[in-house]
Amino acid sequence: MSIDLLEQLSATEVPAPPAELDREVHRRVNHSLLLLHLAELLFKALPYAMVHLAAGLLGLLSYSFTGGRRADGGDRPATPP
Amino acid sequence: MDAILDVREQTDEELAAEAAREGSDGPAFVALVDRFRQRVWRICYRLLGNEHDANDAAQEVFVRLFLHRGRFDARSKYATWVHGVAVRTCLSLRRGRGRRQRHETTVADDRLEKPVAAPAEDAQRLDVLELLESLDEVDRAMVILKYAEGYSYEELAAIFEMTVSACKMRVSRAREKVNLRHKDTTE
Repeated sequence: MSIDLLEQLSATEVPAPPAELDREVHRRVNHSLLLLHLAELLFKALPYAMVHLAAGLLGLLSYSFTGGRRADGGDRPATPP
Repeated sequence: MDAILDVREQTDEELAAEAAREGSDGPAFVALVDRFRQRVWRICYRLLGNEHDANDAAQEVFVRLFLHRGRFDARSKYATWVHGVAVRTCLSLRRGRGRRQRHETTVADDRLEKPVAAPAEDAQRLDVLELLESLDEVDRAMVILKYAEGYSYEELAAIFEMTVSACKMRVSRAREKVNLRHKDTTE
């Protein structure tokens, strides 16, 4: 009995996918990409830029007041992310 | 034109590797969406039972495929991986929406979408869907893919990451459970 019941499942027609599916996928993918890029800008690129700008400024101030560069090279930018 | 021909000649796995290198939804990913649109849609519609939810789920599946395109490691076929993502997405959407709300939507949609269906057939089909609601989510998905879409046990095993014998056992137990529930409701 249950086999007959379960086999009725295949008798149900599946409608065609909606015409706007591709467009919506494209829109949502682009939205996700935009969010990802914004997150990368906020949490990676901007902190990197601020840290290295601050290092440069500190180096400049240090050079202005002491007349010498830091011996450990700490005022030089590291490898970019 | 050459690019279009190239995309058509490539296997799913080659396209997936190409899509992983693309920065946005470029030609390879668009070709994959085109190839899998129908299959993903069928899985979503079968598991969620109405066009509105299936549409949401299918979009979500393709977005997940895009965002996780670098994670496909080619240990299985790309098609199996896509089907697995589709099933897991539908299961998580179903968990997110209450069973009661889901059932009401399904019944209402069926009435709206198929006004000319024979009442007896309609009632029996709803009966089956209602009986399937008593199953565990994974068992329900397996039974639907097996009986509604004709997937083999080997395909189910790959999609659900189980052994073939475990799949057979789960489907068999689910069938028994449906049988018992059906007896209880008809007696």
